[in-house]
Amino acid sequence: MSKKLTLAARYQNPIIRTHLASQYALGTLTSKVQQRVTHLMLEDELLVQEVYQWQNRLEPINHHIDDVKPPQKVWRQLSETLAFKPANKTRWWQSLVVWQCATAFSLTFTLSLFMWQTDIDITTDSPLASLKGPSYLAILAPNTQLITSKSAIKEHLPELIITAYKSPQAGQSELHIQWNKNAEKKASFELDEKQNFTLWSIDKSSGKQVSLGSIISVNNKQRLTLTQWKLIKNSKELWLTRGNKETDPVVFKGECLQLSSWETS
Amino acid sequence: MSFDAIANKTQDKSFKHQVEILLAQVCLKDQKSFENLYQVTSSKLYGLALKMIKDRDIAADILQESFSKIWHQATSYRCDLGENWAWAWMCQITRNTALDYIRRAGRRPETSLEGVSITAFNDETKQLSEQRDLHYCLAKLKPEPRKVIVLAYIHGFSHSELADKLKTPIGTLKSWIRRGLKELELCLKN
Repeated sequence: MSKKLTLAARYQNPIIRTHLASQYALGTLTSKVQQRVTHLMLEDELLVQEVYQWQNRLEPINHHIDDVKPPQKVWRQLSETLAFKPANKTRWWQSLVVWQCATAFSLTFTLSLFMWQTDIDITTDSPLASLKGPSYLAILAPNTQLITSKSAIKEHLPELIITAYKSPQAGQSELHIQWNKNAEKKASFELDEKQNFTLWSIDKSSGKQVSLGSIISVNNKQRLTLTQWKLIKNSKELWLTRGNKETDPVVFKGECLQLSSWETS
Repeated sequence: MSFDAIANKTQDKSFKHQVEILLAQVCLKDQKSFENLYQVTSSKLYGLALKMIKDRDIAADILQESFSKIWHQATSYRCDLGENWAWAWMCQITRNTALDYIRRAGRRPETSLEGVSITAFNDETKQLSEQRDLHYCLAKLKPEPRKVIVLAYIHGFSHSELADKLKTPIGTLKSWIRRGLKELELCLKN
């Protein structure tokens, strides 16, 4: 046991750590040591950071290597191995835009009908405010700016629907997050806090990007603080990034729609 | 910096950002994003694998295995550690897969250092010195450490293989690599 502890302590030495990380990225470790480093990376956060640093430092050496088109069988065999489903032909009624508009319109119409029929005035004083439906709605579409093929866009991720509900009680307002269940494909995609996704508000006046916090998971509700509520109220768009920095890749984005009016914030 | 160098740097940054976005979507198990990622990167990674393994069929197997790992391990990529580092992560996976094969199967004896490396290395050095950052820092190293670092990285040669092919004691070779990496680190940090 003490020998094991001594070995583990040895790897805490920054010089040893840098040596292992640099040689790991370079590729000169023996198989046994490489496996040991891979295992250590599961436990040692500093070692992971060093390895990532060295990977990134040495990667430009690849720049002079010529691209070589791989045999077509590689993708075929890969998709078979990973059991990918083949793409289906879509019709106009299966178009993404048609359903986005239909969903937004029908939701707005239904809410309007409900409010008219029940003759409820939406104010923060009403005890039924939390049951009145969402105050804000955003349909976040996947970032397809890099995809040029229209058929590829149609087969992409489903939309992420974000709705914000105002509660008369402070700190009880909620954010609901779910996949668009109207999409043709089953929403079996995973999105949870371990993957480090962050929701951002884009201010309608300044265009500033402000964090609304991490997304814990989909098909879930999160409480909103007063600050977060105000950010949503003033946003023109909501973005979802992988990572918690402003410069992290935007995976989903969409316009934030206001569904009810407010006398006070 | 020359106009070409600026253009190359911008293109490189754009490519890496594209890879970062696609990998983020692959985390959600989006097959289309994975296919796009494959289309964007497979030629580069296949070229990289071929530098280490000359056999095209085996290199194709390495590429397939690497992308399978990328699909299954996408969620373990640490985007919080740096901006647009996904491409370097993918290169490392591919290189590790190729290295695992080389260590298991053993390198073919006909892989000569002369044919594979010296001419290419001379071309590489000329290209490398025109760019800043790593290439600038590599150009500042002494010839021996620079040579062994580039050979080890591109072709996946081990310490003993390089020592044998360069007719150099293995201790000297390891010292070159250790010193060279240390100098690279200091140069890049500055």
